[in-house]
Amino acid sequence: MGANTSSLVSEDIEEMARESNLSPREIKRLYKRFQKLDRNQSGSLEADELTMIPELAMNPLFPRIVQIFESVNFREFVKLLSVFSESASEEAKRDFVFRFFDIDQDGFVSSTDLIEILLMLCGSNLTQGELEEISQLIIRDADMDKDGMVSYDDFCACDSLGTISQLCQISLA
Amino acid sequence: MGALFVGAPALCATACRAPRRTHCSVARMCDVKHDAAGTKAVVVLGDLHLHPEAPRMAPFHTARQEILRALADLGVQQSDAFLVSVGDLGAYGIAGTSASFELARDFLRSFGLSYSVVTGNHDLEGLDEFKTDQENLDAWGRVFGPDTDTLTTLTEGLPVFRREIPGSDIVLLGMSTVRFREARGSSHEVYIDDEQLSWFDAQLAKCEMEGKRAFVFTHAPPMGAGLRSLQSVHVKNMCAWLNHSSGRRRRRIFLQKVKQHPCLRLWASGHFHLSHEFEDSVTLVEGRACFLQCGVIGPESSRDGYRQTRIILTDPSLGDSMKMYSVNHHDGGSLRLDASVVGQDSTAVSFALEHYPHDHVGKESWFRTFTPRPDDGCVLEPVQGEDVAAARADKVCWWHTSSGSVLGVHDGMVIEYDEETLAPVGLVMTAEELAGRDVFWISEADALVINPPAEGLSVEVLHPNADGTFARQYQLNKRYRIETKRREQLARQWLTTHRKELEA
Repeated sequence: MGANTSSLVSEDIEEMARESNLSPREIKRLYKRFQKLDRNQSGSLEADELTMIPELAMNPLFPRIVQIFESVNFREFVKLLSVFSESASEEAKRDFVFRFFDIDQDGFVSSTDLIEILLMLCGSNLTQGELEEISQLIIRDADMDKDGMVSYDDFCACDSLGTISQLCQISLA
Repeated sequence: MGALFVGAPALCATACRAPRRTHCSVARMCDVKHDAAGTKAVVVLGDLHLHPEAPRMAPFHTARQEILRALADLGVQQSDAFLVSVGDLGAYGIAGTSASFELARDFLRSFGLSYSVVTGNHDLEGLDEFKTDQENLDAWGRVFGPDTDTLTTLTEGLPVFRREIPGSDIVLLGMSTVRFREARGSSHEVYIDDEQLSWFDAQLAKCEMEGKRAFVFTHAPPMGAGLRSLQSVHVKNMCAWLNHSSGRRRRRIFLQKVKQHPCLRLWASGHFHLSHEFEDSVTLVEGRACFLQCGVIGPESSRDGYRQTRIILTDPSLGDSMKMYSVNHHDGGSLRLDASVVGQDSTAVSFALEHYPHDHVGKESWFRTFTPRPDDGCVLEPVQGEDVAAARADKVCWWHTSSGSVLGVHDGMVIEYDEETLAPVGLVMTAEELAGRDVFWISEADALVINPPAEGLSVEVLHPNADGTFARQYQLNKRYRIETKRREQLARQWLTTHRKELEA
């Protein structure tokens, strides 16, 4: 299957099912949804097409979600969403959430990353001082090796109860 | 069929505007004698915003008496008069609640006339009482359904109304906004969904087939109605027109229906809280469809000091003509003929009053829309070759972008206009943001360049949004704002708790 999503053959479905944690039925359902969203039939999702999902358009983290999902083709779309499947591993879910917070993609969740997320969640009503204080307190709690940033290992250590795995789950059936 | 605008007799205009203390004398000077037999009237109530406190209800009870007296002056039997409320029933703070619906229902019933109602944006604002827009709408339907058939099987479960006026060729059609919490942009956009649009199509087709005239009622007007007086806040927040924030196709669809259906002869709306005093508060589109802006009764709701109600009068002896009156509640209920629409072979609108200039009161509180015309003072000053044009904030200037958007500098603001109707869509820069700066349009880059107000500051470049538009979303959905506020409070609480832990 190329960029164009005008058809989805059974070989594609089977291959994607092997690569993801999704069943062929779930993939077929996602494909129908993807085709509806891809209004210009370009084979990939653009920001304005993503805003057509009301639940997403109202999500405070929408700008970050768009950064991750924008321009994805169907194969990438399946891969991204498979993380939210019940059968996806705890590690895959943690990895996705960590990458979600690591906005500048430098391998660490820094104060700058957290401030950006806080701004999306709380608007510009918190003062710069409050934003910095909150981000520093979060890092102080999570930063096991005390290097001022949250590494992937720090992040996993914070999630010893598996909370991320429980929250990072949506029904794709 | 062409439109012909005829100047009104100055004597009548002067007489109509003169303050009056007695009832009906001025109305009679304005030639409002009608053959009582067969005369039908539709009373259109603008945004009510009722509050149960007796002193705040008093002006509405007075207004009701004034309206009923006006109908009597016009020779209309009560059984031949129909009442339509275009929504926004409850006062700010109680809007959208069950109590506000019941209060409005009792008020509407008190006229003793057959009535219909549509929702306005504030009628779905009962955020504390209802979780979803549908729950809110259902509560509205439970209150008004028994009287008006709205949201019942008779209206296909839709928040609409269809009412045929007996003994006439007139059908009243109303459609409601159905989205507040789920609005993509401003919660105050008046949004008509696809189900209602399909119903509307079917109703208009039926009117065409049966040779009837359709009078349409919605809370906000459709884009392209030609109404040129509106509050700037509605442009800034992109909630002036029906489906304003829902993309080009959805906001243009209404005018397309006007063009497609010659039977559509009148469209009345409220929403702006502005009076009937302005030029273009009555307009004619396609030479036959009359658009009416309806004012408000409540002193707290009026934005320009005038308090008015519309009466549309039809008289079978005059063919398919109609007359538009104002009941001036700010002037003891005086009745005034505003305009006549004469149908038959050619359609003419005769304005029966000299309109006040747009800036006669509180100019800062509203916005007058402009359409590019050779005589509107448009200035395009080439700066560097043909691709660059510049304007100062105090000039009027227009640009057509390659993506089809139309931008204009007007009244010190940068405004985006719809390229098809040239109605204002939204603000790109406010007057405060633009003050003292120059604007350059770089057509090769499809970008606006704003000069800094002082030396040493950097030049600002405004690029189009992802969909090719330039208008900025200044107001977010209300539920979104409330939830953001809640998260802000949680963050502050979390901070306080952690500070205490640190201190301990």
